[in-house]
Amino acid sequence: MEPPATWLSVFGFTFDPFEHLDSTKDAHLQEYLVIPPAVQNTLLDQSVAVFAQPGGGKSALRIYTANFYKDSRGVRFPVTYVPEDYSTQSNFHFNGIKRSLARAAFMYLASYPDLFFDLSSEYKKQLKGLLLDLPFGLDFNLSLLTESRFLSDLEAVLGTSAFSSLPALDRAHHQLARELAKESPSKSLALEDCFALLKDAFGAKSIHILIDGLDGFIETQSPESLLAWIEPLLNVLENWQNKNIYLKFFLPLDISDAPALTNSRYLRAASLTWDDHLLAEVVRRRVFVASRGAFDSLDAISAPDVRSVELTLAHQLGEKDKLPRQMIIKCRNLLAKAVKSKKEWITSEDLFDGESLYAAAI
Amino acid sequence: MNSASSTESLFKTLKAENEPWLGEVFVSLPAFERLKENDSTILYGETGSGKTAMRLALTKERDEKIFTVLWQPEPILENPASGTALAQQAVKRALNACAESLILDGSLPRRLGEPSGHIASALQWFLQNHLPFDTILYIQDQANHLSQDDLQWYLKLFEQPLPPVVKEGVSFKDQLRLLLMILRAAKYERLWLTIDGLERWTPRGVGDQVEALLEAVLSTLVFFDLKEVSFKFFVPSSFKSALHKTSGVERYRSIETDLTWSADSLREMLEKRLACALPSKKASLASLCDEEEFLHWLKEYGGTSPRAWLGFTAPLVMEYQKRGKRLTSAHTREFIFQHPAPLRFHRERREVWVGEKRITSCSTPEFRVLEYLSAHTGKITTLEELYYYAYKELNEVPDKGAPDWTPPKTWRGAMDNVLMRIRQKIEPDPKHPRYLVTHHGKGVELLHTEM
Amino acid sequence: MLQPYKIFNSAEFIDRDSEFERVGAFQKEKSRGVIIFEGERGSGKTTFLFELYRRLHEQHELRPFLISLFPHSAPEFASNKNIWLNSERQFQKSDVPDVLNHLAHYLEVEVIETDDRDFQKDYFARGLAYRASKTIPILLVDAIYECPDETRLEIEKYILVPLLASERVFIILSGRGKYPIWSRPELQNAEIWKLEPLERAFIREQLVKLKELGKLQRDLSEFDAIVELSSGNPLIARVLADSKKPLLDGLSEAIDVMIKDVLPSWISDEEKLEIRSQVEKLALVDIPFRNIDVEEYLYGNDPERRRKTDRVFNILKASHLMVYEGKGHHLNQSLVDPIRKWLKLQGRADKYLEQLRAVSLRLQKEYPTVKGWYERMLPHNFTTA
Repeated sequence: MEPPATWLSVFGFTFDPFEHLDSTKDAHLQEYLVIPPAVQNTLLDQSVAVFAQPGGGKSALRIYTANFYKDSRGVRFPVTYVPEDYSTQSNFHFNGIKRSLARAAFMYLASYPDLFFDLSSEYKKQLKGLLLDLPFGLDFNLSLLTESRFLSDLEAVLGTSAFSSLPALDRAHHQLARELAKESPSKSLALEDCFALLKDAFGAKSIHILIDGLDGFIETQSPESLLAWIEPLLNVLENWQNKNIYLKFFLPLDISDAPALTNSRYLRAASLTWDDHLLAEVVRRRVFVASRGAFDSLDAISAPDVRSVELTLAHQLGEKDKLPRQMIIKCRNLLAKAVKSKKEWITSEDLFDGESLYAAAI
Repeated sequence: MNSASSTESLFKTLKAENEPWLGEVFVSLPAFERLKENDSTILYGETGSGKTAMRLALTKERDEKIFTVLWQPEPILENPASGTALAQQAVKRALNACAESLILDGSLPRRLGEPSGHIASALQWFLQNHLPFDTILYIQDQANHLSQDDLQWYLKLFEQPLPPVVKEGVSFKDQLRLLLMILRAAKYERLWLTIDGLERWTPRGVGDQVEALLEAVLSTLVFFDLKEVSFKFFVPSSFKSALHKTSGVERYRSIETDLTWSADSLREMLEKRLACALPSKKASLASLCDEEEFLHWLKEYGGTSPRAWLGFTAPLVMEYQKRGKRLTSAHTREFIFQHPAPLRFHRERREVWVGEKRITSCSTPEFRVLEYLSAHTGKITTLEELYYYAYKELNEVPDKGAPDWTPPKTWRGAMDNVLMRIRQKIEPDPKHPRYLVTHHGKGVELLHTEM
Repeated sequence: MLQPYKIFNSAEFIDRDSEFERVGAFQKEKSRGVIIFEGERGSGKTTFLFELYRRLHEQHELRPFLISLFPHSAPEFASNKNIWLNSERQFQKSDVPDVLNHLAHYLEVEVIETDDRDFQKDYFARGLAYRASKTIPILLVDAIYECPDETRLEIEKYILVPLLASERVFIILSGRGKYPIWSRPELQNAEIWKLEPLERAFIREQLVKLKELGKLQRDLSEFDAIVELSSGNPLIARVLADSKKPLLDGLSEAIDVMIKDVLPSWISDEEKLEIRSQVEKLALVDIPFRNIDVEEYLYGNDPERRRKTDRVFNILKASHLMVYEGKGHHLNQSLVDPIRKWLKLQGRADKYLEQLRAVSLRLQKEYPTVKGWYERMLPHNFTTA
């Protein structure tokens, strides 16, 4: 395969929009993630279950949603919970959520360090209590806060993103680390107290808990056992909704008709599925963004008799392959082929012959 | 390198790990170009198709900013774990492999210099938790890999008691993030986890245990699903269907590709090795023999297996060196005649192969004749023995007059026919048989077989 | 020195009643939302936004705030702190903290003070997001499409998005050309309302009004012809009516204003002429076109024709006079109409049409599967007689 730089320059892209098969790793996710209409309610103030097949874009949507809430500067406070262990202990998920909350709260403080200094001493103690749940302990994270240069360093270690974009870590952060180190912590806080703390100390109006990775465990491969595993979370939906705390589940498609999920008054269910038009849109958005708005379709760089390149590619996919990643692979191959053929544009041969090349890549 | 003994190893060694000259003779295939991208990739290849060579080349060619880890998953047998517990054992092993690579990579002390406090304690913690035995002992054990300065660097790092900052019981993903933090401080931008050596799991084929292990490895990769990390998973082709049965979601986040050789790339590989083995750097197939004749034969019986192409070419190189001059067309043909590709059987699958060429549609008597002969190599078998084995399923010739006994004139024609049909299928030239030879008046013998 | 049409005066304003009503209805029906007025060059977007601001300002519960990104002047708002306006220079990224400061005071937002000056912007933005919603802010930003990406991104990140975090808020933007790359869903899914050309009667009414205010050179008797030539574009009408030259030359001058005023400043006068003549040719192409379709038409057999066409296209796109939409590029209709009129009157169209016909025939032959498409390349209903 030609290095992408070649076709990038040939066709006038400022970056390679097909570099990442997995959009969760894509820096341009917010700019070009296509959200099918059916799942747009994920962004609303309610609890939602989103279903998709593996590789169907659940995690991308989860990250997009988290970023969307981050943009509100934490007025709508996002907490991402991705369990990393399989356990049926009664408090398992709630402890996991609390640890996720600790990370988010630490990131919030690092994003707005000056906020901490004006808090009442009770809130300071409670925050310290919550932060004891940070991975590797609070002391390690405080030295990280003191010794790192940018918020992005913290983001990478904690696996959660910042709420502001402060240019660098500065004396306010050092002061924050010192004060947190000095503070004596409240005794272990209940999860409900932690929610209250986010609202009262930070001013969050609602809390959104994004729950992903539930289908990654072998034990949860059967729909029944997955449902049983998440049941404790389903039981709190009503109570939490009354406190403006919402759960967003990202679940495998094969439990999409489970009554516990579809009949709940407190949970909206939606399936993330792809048709040819949406898949074509996936490519067009990418082309638009990567050409910095110069054009919004591969048609623009195709021979005059080649039209509707994106739809043609989508049509070529087999029923099982109608997924964004397969479209991206097709586009990569198409562009590589177009460059290799030394023509100045995509020809219909590239478009239709691309098929065999694609088969070889899969 | 240019000596007779090295010639032999250049064409006989098929274990890439043992090939110091790999860089010189490596052929870049399309699959390799794909591996070099940042995507996570699952590469399927037959045994001996060059997976490991590719993995080594990948490590060698990689950029300064990529930290490569080799993880060779052991069959995890010590306790009958399953599901996530099994996967977690696998993750632990993968993280152990990362820790070992940190030391073996050797450049960490230079790259980190004087690390800041949180980096030092993170590194100390990571090594202590993931090196296979006592950290200091392990590092001292690596003395021949490490310079004296580097050794001192590590010892100094561990002089400090492990600060109480790092608490136990952190998730694997957090441990991986910690590792990435150390790598970033060492100016690495990406971590490539290469996974190889699965062949060792089951020499006898694929079973339930392999599926469970593959599932565990794939589940492991979920823990490694971070922006800066990609995996390069080298999988024997025979595991493909087992892998497709697993539910590992990571498969959907990676590219699956097959390691296949075209005749052109096989030829390129041969020529590179020739240039490396022979005194003249310009040595090529054409300077050794009648290239067209020899390539035709390689393509027919060497298939797309680099192992077979090398194996078939090795004696040619020896022959050339013995003669001290190029083999003419007649010599080349003679050479081919003298060195037929091995005949192989796969009893359960009822397959017959000549070299890499599969012989299609053997009838039951034909297959039984071959089966019997291959079980009695080095010995002449009478037609009578063959007849009773092939048609009557008897291991011994019955006594004359016994119920199964048949007069020779009734089966003689049928046996001649079977032998003729076999020759037509397996012999390059049925008139001058090389595999199924007749010893007049005594019987037949099967030569050049390989079990 | 600003041209007269860059100085806002509410007394000169005419019509757009339906747009005002629509905004009013939107704001009554919904608690929040984003509206973008898209209009071509000279359609009166800026004037409309200024007038909208003036009217919103009169409503008690609303808190309108206007940001004008390009040099303009509005003497009647001189003492108003809730307008960011500069008659000398474009808005810059570094102006954002200043705007945030004004907004925060205006909207009575509690902001955390910090010693780190670089942090203050983020605290302002946080303050906007946490704003208690007693009043309804309406932020108006003019020419958001045309400003540099880095400015737009900064405005989006620090002003638009935090504002949108609160429950009751309206954002009204205007832009010409191609919809920019937004990364926030509410901006991506904004309501797009087109600002259409004015009806002829209103153009005439406005000219009369300007004449009464003593701002036009030309005589009332020529106004009908001017209205006709302007195709409903207020800017062309105004420039034409204020010109001392014969009508045909006046039209040419107006077309120049339409084009040259918005070309990037680094383009030489010579190249501006070149762009003008290529725009004339492109105005005759009736289908959405691509570089490959028109390079021969623009540059004949010049071996450099691809590069030259690319350059013209890039300049026109950067100036938002041309956009890519659907199957190819479109020139602003507000340029196409007057240019076609001018070419017709001037008698220059024949030569261009002949060249275009030749290219169209060649393309039809070369790409038989899309013959019908290239048949439509020549302008229909266009006679040079």
